[in-house]
Amino acid sequence: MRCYRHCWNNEARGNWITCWVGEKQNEIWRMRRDGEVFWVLADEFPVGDFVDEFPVGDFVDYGRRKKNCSFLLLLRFYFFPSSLTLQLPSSRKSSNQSRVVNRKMTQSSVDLPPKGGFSFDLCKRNDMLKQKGLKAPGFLKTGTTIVGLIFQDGVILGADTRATEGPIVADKNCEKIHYMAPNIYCCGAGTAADTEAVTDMVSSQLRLHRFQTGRDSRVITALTLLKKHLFSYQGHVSAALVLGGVDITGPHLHTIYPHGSTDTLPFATMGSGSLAAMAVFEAKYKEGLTRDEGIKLVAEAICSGIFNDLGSGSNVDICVITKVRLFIMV
Amino acid sequence: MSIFEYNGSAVVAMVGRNCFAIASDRRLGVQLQTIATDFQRISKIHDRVFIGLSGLATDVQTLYQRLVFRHKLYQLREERDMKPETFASLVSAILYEKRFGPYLCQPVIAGLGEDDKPFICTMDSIGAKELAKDFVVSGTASESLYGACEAMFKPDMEAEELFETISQALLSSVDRDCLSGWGGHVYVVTPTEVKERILKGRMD
Repeated sequence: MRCYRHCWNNEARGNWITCWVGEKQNEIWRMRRDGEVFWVLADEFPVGDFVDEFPVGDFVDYGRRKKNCSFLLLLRFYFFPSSLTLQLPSSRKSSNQSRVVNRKMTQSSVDLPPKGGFSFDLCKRNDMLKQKGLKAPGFLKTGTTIVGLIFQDGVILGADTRATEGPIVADKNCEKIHYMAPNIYCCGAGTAADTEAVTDMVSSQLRLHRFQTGRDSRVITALTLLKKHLFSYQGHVSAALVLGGVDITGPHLHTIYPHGSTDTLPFATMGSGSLAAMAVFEAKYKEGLTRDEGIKLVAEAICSGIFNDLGSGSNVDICVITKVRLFIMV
Repeated sequence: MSIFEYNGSAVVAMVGRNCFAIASDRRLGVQLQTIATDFQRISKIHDRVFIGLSGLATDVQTLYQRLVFRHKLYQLREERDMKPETFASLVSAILYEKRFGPYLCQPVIAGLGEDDKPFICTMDSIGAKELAKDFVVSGTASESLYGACEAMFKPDMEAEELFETISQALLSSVDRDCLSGWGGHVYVVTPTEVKERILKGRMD
């Protein structure tokens, strides 16, 4: 039996599919010149060829003889649902054992970098691996104590600097206070990749917004952009944030939870050490703190998290944001 | 068993004075069976940037091919090589794009930046960058590697001393890990040359 598949490296889709010739060399050549893709799905096809060019899981049953090759069709529907057309070639009507699937190469975008946003093409393979008993990986978490408070001239944010991977400390001095705008900073707890990516993304959006409006960014703008993004991913983007800044309307402090809910508070704590830090705030916070009192209180709260919570540790980072100038102390 | 323990790996990178070293083990296994003892985990992106990938071997190879492709496109457009910081951001973006269905590997990136300043960083499988000034580790032997590197590392080592240190750290750590070992592959990179050396270790 003959079986053909067309070969292309489709970066935009992230698939690797290799071709080889069952029998006729010149038929493959014709396929490429037209830019069209032909598959002949045979009932049986050669075992074992080119197995190592396929990523694990994409062609799970490839290499085993199968009576029914419809899994190839399923993969085509999975990868290119809108562009798939099924045609029976007139020349092969006599053969009951093979069908041709005809697809226009022009409908797939080849050799372009991805357009942005998440890509889900390895999900099927990873699910297959999970079913076979291989556990999913753990991600770098920022165990963390992050705090913020409003004092008389502005906002003070504080964070510890430990990044954990399970029980191991992966980074003893990581930065958890992320830049959003010259007058807005954001502390992040949860999955490290998510906090970094989401704060970077909203920071870029704020920059573009500043170009468009010609004004300084407002904290409420950053808040809305963050909560919209996090809510749309229903909590799967696991980023818990303490957002603080000073804009034309005054100092603001907000907390944002991974599912997209927000709170506006005079003092706030997040992360695994949040209870330890909140205990310090509840005991000692008062309105109208001076700069030095505020810094001392924030440092005390973070230290409380560092000493009492196993997920927080190492050093204390503090960021003071005021109307006129911005100080970052590490 | 975790997916990262399917093939077994150990990768470490260390910073010296105007140089860096990156080392990996050489075993490729399928759970407890060894199927190759010369597996290449560290790859060159260009003369001054190296990437070592630990984790699932198929993703190691696929990701390496993707990154070489992107770097070549960059070279065509910009007519120069990528800086290591830029390359690290590229890897992070590629990994985060697959946030909900990730590549099951953890990269260690090492390079010489502007003014021959060495740069190392590692990431988890979804691209959370972790920059370090001394050493970074990754793989099944990572816990032992953390301990060995903490004990053996000194700042500002020259190339030869750095090679000795990283080799000792790697070999002693993989000896404590069943899934990695079978020798080592060490690259020591200075502004003028790249020295690649194969270590002979316990073959068990």
